[in-house]
Amino acid sequence: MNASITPITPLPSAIPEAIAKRVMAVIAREVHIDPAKLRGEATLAELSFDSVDVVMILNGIEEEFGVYVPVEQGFTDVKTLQDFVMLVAGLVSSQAKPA
Amino acid sequence: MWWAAREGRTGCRQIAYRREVPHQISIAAQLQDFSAEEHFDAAQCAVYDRFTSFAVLAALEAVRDARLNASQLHGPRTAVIIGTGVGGVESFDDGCHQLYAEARSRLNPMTIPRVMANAAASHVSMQLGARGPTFAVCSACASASQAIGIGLQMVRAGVVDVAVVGGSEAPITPAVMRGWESMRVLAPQACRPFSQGRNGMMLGEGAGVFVLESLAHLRARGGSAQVELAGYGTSSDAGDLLRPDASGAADAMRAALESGGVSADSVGYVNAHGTGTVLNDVTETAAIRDVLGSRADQVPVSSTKPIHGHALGASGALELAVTVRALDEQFVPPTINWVDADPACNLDVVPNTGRPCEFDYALSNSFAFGGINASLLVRRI
Repeated sequence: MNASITPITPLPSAIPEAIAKRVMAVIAREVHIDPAKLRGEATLAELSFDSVDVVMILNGIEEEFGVYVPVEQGFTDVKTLQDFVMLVAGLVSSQAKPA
Repeated sequence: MWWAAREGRTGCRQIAYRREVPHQISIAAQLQDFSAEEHFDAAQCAVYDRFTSFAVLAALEAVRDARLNASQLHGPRTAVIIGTGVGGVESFDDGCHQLYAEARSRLNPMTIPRVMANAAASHVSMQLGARGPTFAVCSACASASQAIGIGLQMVRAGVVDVAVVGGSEAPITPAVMRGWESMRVLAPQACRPFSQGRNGMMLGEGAGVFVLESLAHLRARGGSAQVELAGYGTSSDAGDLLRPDASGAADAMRAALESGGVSADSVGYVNAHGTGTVLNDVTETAAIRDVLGSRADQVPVSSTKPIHGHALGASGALELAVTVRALDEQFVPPTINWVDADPACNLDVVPNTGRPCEFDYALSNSFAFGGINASLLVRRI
């Protein structure tokens, strides 16, 4: 089922928008959440993101980008889906090999 | 292991795999010099998985250390309880490889008896002639602590005179490592419990076994004890599958203190579960602060997992052994690889260098996936 994903704005310039969009697509694929609820301003508590969701997403990230992202300290600080996407996109950007 | 813990020398190293698979993480506290053939005869090697070998060696050492002779262990008044998370997984891995990858027509007929989680307990029982309650406890990272705690309860209840208890784990197979890696909780470079910048744990392997008996039984045979196992507490979070819960952890610690008949004011050291994951260390800090109250700023709390790795079902036993030695020598081992303070882990974590410390009671914590918590209390005698 295809659902349009709400774009995340504004982005810090260090994070390419393309990466953030791909991260969002991974999240939509991996979590057991109604895609209509995946709005940037939704809090992770509202979305009932649990530890299993985070693990599934990070595995999806490795498949998508080929980078291993362990659960870093930032994961306990993020409150909204936007924060989460930015955190993951930032970690991916810093590890991604140059094209 | 105690000297490594005391001096801050890590056992974490590049893993030597028997079969190569692609992997991102390749560091663990693997016992690379261990050879079963050096300790056991051919008949034993044919039926002992690596986790059983570890357990039998540790049990024989414990019994020797306790100066118990064979006749004192024979019979139904001796229990054997050996915790493990995954049992004979190395033998299972071999069997799967033979079946799926090698398409062998004959598998090792001893595969099932090697894999079964009770194998370690059964072989320890056989070696000791112990014919009382014998079983495995399987509670992931809390297995050994619970095995030890149940042994304590049995001795206190008078069900047995002696309990040979602990845990054993030999989990470092390619498939298990990949499974752990995919949970994103393994640190790529270093395990740094309670530190700023920590990003995961490292696995370990091994076994720890203790001999528990009542004071009356000990005196009657003219034996001497190293410390008193004073209390045991356990709880279940009944919450998230992977994320720990501070109230569940605190409940286990409080139950251990209550079972020991002392208040939190008596605790002079805590050997933390301290895996080095972002979540455990924050949650455990909150739980310890809740239990210790205003004394939380003064009581040293260290994790020795960067030394011996997270040995899963054996971890409670290895870490109780460290705690017993710490109590005996009045020295708290350090939490190594510590870089900087994390405000959310505001405890005295004994960063990088151990130190002498006067204390009479210590707690040793183990918190498992699935939300199972266990805590053991030891008292200096």
